Amino acid sequence: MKSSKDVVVSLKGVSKRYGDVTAVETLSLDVRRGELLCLLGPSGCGKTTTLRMVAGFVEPSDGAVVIDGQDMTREPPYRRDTGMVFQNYALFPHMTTAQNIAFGLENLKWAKADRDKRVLEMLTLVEMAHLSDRLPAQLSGGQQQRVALARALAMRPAVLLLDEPFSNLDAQLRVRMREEIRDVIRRVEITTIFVTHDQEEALMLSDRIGVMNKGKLEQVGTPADIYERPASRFVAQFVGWCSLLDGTVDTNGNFVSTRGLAFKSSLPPGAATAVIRPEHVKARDPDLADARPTYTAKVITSDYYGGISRLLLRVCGEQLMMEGHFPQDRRPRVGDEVAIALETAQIPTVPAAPP
Amino acid sequence: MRKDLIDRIMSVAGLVVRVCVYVMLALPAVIVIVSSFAADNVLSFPPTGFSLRWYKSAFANEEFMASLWTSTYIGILASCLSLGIGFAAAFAIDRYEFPGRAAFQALALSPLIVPGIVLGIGLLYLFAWTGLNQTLAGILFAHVVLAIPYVVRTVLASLSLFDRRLEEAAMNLRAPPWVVLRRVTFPMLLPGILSAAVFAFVVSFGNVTVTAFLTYDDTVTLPVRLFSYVQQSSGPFVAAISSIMIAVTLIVILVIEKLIGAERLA
Amino acid sequence: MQSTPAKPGRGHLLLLISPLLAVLIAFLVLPLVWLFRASFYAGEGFVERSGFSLAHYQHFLFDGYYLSVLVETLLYGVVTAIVCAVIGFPVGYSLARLPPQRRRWRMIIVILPLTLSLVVVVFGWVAILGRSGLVNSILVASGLFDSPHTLLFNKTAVIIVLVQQTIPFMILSVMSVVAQIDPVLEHAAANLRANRFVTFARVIIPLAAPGLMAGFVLVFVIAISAFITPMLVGGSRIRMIGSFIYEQMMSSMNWSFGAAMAFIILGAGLLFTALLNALAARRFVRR
Repeated sequence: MKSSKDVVVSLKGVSKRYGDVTAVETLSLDVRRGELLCLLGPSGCGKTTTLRMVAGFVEPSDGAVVIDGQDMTREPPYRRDTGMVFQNYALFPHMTTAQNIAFGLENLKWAKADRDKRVLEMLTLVEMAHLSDRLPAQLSGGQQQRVALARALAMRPAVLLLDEPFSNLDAQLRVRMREEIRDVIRRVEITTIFVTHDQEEALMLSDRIGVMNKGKLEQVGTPADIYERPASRFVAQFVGWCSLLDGTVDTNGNFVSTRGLAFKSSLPPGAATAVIRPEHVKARDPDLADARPTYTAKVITSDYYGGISRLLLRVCGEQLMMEGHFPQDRRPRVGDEVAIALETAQIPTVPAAPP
Repeated sequence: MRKDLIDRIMSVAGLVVRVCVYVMLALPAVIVIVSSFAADNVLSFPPTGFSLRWYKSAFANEEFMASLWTSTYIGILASCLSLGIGFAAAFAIDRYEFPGRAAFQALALSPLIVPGIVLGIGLLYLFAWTGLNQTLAGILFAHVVLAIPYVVRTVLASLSLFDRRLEEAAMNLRAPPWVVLRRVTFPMLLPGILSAAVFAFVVSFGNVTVTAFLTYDDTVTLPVRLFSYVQQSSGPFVAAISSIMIAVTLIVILVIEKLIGAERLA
Repeated sequence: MQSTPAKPGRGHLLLLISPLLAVLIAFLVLPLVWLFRASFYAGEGFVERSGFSLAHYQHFLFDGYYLSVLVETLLYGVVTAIVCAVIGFPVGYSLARLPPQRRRWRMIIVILPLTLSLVVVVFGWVAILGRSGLVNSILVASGLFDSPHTLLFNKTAVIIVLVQQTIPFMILSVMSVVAQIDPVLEHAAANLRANRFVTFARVIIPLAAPGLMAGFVLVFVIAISAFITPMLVGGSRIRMIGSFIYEQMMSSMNWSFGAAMAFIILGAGLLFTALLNALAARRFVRR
């Protein structure tokens, strides 16, 4: 049984309404000590609003925000033990790197000697010690982000909040900064909530992911939980590519999709929706025996991406995607037939769509 | 959400200060208008009774009505002149590259930073020597100088928002330059041009700091006549005249506001 | 500028810029230059327009009385500017942060006094502060005063009117600079444990300083050149250079002396502006 000390941030039934619009609906979530939790979802799903409710910039319409065991719902942002890195970093343009980092410590009334020590510690942590006298305008995007991170961490907050921290960076820098920030967070061992719409980022960085859609939290779990055992159609479609096959399982344990793709399933009889991902579809040698369900698929599109090729196949009336490594000359072309097998043991199902 | 005490004090203080400032800004005009309806001859507040006698008196006063007419037609003339000169200058600044363009623009806007009194006595001096003293032309040119910066600023703003690609599209659709100007450029710039004309009129109509040095017996603009009058007496009569001036200005300003919005006036 | 500006039409260009050049050189530059010259004339410059003499400047600068008026005028300028900065800042800040539709009417109230004739506005204050005016009526009715006080014709009245006359410039200056301060910086400050007061003191005001300074200078220059306001609201006991200049030009007809005074006050204004800029530069350079 987890003691309450293991939960750093607890959102209890938190909602936010703006007039007729509900931005966040009865969201409950516990963020555990030391974990890196990501709020993932498309624009407008309420993830940023939720983050801002933790920070205190938005007051919930209902529910409570509990930080380190204390109800902070009515407290202003400057009384909350959070450190936030904003999307555009929000470094004070009239202060140097060191002054930016020291700002929070000054407001917390740290003694000068302690402040200076801590600022140096933080600068070293993000490898910016040689740029301590620069103004933000003189720093690159990546450097500014590091300063913003150092500034937030300097206060030793109970929780670090990151608001789409990588969306301002170009693709290459993004990948590099992701890893850098993850290393810093792990080294400091700080509980972190970060918000993103990039599922690749979420999968790679997080200990747990909370997938949000239209103000609701659809599923919370580890990256593997989210990807391999999605709880809803939305989660299945938002994270990774999939084909959703609606169908039924009969009393003999056969799953049959509405268009006729069939395989054995261990699910109880009734309606079911299968989530078939590219890795569930494998090319096979038609001459060899195979324990898995096998089919003959027709290639609809065939795209070369270098390391992998992606084929869209029609199988028993359904469309499935297959990824595989084919050298260019041996890549199946449109109209070809391929022999495939389904890794049915790995195929998850989600609740059927409401009628 | 809870706030620190100092924040709450700041909130309240800020509100109080803002209200006081807005009241202070609006009060003189409001009081002037209210006082103009007084029944008796004292500038008392609240005014005793309600009467239009002071307006009747104002409209019957030959000198003041002559001044009103003078201010109005000087205003219209100055507006047209400064519009022509200022529009041409703004057009040149926006569309042409030439050496000294920045200096030219600074010159065009410079009357804004010259104190009225300095310009006034400077012109008094110049006119005395060149014989333009005590002429309508003198006052007219003074007002044109005062109005030009407003025209240039307004037209430049209008031009900078104007998408040149519309002209390019017109040319692509076989329109020769003068047709482009007449059917695309000018209609789209019209709100800006009208605002500039209105600004110029208002500046000319209301000016007293410069004009005070330039007027003479037969031609006294309304604000200057009011200035001399107020030094001797003040009463609801003055309030009525002032209200007429406010009305003229207000009508003209509300026209711009409808055209371009209060934001762009700043 | 969008596409490349036109090359052809050198003649066109000349046509476009020469009217403005002609008018402003003839009626702005020339008068000022001439006036400057006139301040060095030996005589009063009305009939005699010759000679070179520093007599008028000496007359002013070596006279204790005139110097005291100069100092008083500058003081009026400083006090007006400070008051405008203090009460104008909150207004400018709030206008910058308001959404456009809420801002509309407030902007009209701020800009309207600038469009009305100065004499109308000042007369309005005469009506407000007069013996039977608004303020006296309220104070007498509420019992704070036994009988109407003379609120006009003193320093405070002049300052109040100067402030109202010039505060729109301060407000607009502050508004334009605060609009460029990203609101997210205020959130960042709050997240870094700064309450609103600290946020203003350490983030907003330092970043708004250029706008405050520009407004300060503008208000100062307008206030020290004022003559209508001190004449109508200040009466004979209030002495500002502006009213002296008016008097010299219109009654005493000592135009050269008037010119000299005008350039003295202009010079004082320029000096003050330069001083303020130098001070500002020092404050921002220091780490």
